[in-house]
Amino acid sequence: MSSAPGREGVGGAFLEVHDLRTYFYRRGRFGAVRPDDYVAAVDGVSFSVEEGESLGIVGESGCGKTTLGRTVLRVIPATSGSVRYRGEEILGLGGAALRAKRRDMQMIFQDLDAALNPKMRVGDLLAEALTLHKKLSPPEVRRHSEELLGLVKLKPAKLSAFPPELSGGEKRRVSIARVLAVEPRLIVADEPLSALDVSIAAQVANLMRDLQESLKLTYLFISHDLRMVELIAHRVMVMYLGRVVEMAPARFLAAGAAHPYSRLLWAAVDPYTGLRIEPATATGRWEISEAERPKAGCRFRDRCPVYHAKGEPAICSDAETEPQLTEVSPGHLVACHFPQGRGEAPELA
Amino acid sequence: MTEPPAVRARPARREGEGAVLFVRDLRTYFYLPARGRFLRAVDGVRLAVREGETLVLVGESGSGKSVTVLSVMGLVTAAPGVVSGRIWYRPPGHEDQVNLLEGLERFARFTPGPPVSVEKDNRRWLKWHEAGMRERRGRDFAMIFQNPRNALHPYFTVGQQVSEVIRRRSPELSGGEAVAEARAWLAKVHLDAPAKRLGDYPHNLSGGMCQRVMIAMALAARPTVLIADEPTTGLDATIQSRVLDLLEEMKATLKTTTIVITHDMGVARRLADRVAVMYAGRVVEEGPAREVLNGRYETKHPYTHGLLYAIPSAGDIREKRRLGTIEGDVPDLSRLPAGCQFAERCGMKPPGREYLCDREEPGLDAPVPGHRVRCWRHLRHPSEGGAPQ
Repeated sequence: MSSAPGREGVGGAFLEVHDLRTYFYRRGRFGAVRPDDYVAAVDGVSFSVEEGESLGIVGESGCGKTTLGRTVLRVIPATSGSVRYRGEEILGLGGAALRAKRRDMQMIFQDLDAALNPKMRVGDLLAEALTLHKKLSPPEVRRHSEELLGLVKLKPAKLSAFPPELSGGEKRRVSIARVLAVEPRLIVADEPLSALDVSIAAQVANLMRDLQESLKLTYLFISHDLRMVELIAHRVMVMYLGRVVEMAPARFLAAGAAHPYSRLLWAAVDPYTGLRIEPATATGRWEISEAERPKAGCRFRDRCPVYHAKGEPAICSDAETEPQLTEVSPGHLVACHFPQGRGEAPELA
Repeated sequence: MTEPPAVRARPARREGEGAVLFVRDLRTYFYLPARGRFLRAVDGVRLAVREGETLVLVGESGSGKSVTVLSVMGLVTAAPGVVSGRIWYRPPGHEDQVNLLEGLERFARFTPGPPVSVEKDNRRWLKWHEAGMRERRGRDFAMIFQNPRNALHPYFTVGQQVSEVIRRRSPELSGGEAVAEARAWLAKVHLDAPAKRLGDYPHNLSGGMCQRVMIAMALAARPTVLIADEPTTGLDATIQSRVLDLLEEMKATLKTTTIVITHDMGVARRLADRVAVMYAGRVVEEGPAREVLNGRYETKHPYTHGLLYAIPSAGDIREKRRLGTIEGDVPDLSRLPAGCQFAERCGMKPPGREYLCDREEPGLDAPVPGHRVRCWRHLRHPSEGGAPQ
């Protein structure tokens, strides 16, 4: 297990994100940006990842995990903050310099049907990606394409298939092959297993782990499936409404989650796996709507069982004392005034 | 309605004894004009649901679980649709079962083949069938759909939609009484400020809230059989767990007979009394949940084993093990193989008797009482004589 760097990151980390913010502004009449009216999709996120590591990002829909992945790859412009890739700031890059970096950093998109052009054969889809950064002769393209299909365990015959002829698992494999075509080092995988059937998801999960080992890839693995994240990721980052609320080694969170939100998430996991900590608490709201998102203080307090149990302490709602990520044990960071189960985290059975 | 004598098949009555709903030999086909073949979405399904019990149908996409319940509800409109089978249903307070597919033989002539042949006057069948089913839907059978946002009407308020169900169930209630009851149901599914929610439109609510409104609507009808199609898919983990809590609570307090469709073994484990595992339009294993989902000795069918091992367990995560996978893909439902449908992907064929798997499809039989399986590992071929294994 790599020693988990803290919030500030360690100098020379492979990928270092510091205080990243992505705000979406609502526009007024005539398209004027209204500076006070925004949704903070990513709101001050810092983390670092080492080469060959895979960082799992979990949280429910709307927590900003997808936006974070896209901002890091500069698919969406960041509002402020810094993203350093191998020591180099990439938020300010443009033109050729950015394109060169893009080769190293790729994304596996969630929506397969949108990611693969249905009117292009698999061979053309791969050729397009292969010749993007390299000049290759047609036979070389063919050879490389077959190699890529081999990597994702598909038969070369699939080169002439159109995406709609493929099953969900095969489409996912093609989308991974396409990403691997440019030989990336960092892959942001956005819910790569979500649309797949159980047995197919298991095949793809195994494939992603094999590829990481053989090609020394670094993953940002975005998912809402906690079990898969724990299996694939070395460290897991839990997000809630644009903030990181907890970060810990993957195997630690199931039994030792300290943030009430993480505990709620893991309590929802199938008890069969033996990971359930406690039944979902009855206190606190189930969910909150867009309009009710708190913008100051602890964002989770409305749904927090601890906040309600402790009689709604002022420290949780005060904007001055918004909880910051602090280390509760080596490699385990929590942003909560009342972290749970500290020091008594049971060993996994 | 005069029943032809063939409908009162004795074995069916005996087999389905005590069941609220007993589906036997149900076949629902679709026609693929481009290939000139039938897609056998549901191909000889047998299911029994007893009163107060929760049956969970598990299977991957294309296994036929949704089409099975849609056939029961009479909601399959594409031709040819339901081509054969019996659906025995015992209405509340009745001793006798009625066949919901009554009269199907008059409109459809089905030969199992090969080659499969279906002659069906689907328009006349649907008209005939609809007359019987319209009264039952929403009263005897209520359904919770997978996508609650699409299932609720966008132009009517939550209060209007829930109270409509209540007035349909009890026409003697006044509008005010129905709304009051709707409010009580919304409170029962833990919506906060139910009085305020009555006036909300579906777009005012989050996905989890819509799902709870759907559950309230389905339960308010006080159905004999509640059908939930993937009730937690698409919801966030914490909300999923709350919806499951809610369904568990409703199961305990209202004792509604329930059929749940899911691909999630976790959901099955939490809700099921009995589990039926479906594959390629068939039930391949059916039995008590603790046996079928046990994972070790009591799980019988190789496909069920495969599904269970494909989910990361605590041990897999701790030791960073590779997941068990079922190699290959689901067979093409319009071109099914001759032997066992799972044979191609199966890694647990019975030693020395593998030839059976490719040659002949096993029937759904019970090697131990109450636990049926469609697998030669556990069943004896008539030609074999002696006991298996």
